Amino acid sequence: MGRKGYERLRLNSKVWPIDHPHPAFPEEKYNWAWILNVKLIYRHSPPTAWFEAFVDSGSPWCLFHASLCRPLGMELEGGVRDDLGGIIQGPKVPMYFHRVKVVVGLEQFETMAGFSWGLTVGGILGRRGFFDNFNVSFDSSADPPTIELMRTYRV
Amino acid sequence: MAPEERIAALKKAPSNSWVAFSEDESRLVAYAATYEEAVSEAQGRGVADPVLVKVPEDWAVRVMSA
Repeated sequence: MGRKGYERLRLNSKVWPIDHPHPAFPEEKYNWAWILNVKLIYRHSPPTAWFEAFVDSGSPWCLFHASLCRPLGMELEGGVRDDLGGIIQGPKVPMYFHRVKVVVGLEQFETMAGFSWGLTVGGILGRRGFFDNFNVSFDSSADPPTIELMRTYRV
Repeated sequence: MAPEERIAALKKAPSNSWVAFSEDESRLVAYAATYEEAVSEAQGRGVADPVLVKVPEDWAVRVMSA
């Protein structure tokens, strides 16, 4: 089984606020983050509006904020239940997996993604669904930093 | 939109709200408490296909992993 690649999409990263400059990095007034605009489709729903999702290779799955469920016509608690936790120890919050299509640029992929009220951002693009459908490379040496995506297909 | 403008727009947003930017992300269009309100307000202001940002409770630096 091989993998076939298509056109590359190169995007600038986006700035993300910080409360105050970190004492270890006093010159940095904000962070650069790998953020992509995505839309979601559930069954035959119209797509959501574009919203920002963080690219996160540390996340096993794609995750989205639960407030997107109602406009998609999705019953949150009808999904497959799990608990969402972070790498910092703390209470876990429920999340529910649903099969959705995720639109990135002109591409889309289908995946089981978790939805939770506990997510602090609109979305996270993790390994299952995103990283197994795109060859992703980061260039932090560029100014601004860039991210390059190439959709891959199993053949 | 310059990085400093985007930072200012996001930091002015209430905690846990949603921010809508124009299609090309050059301009702030709306702040709203919910995703649906943000879409509705943006479309009401003539932005048919806005880009939304979910604002966290605070701007503490987080390690993005779950």
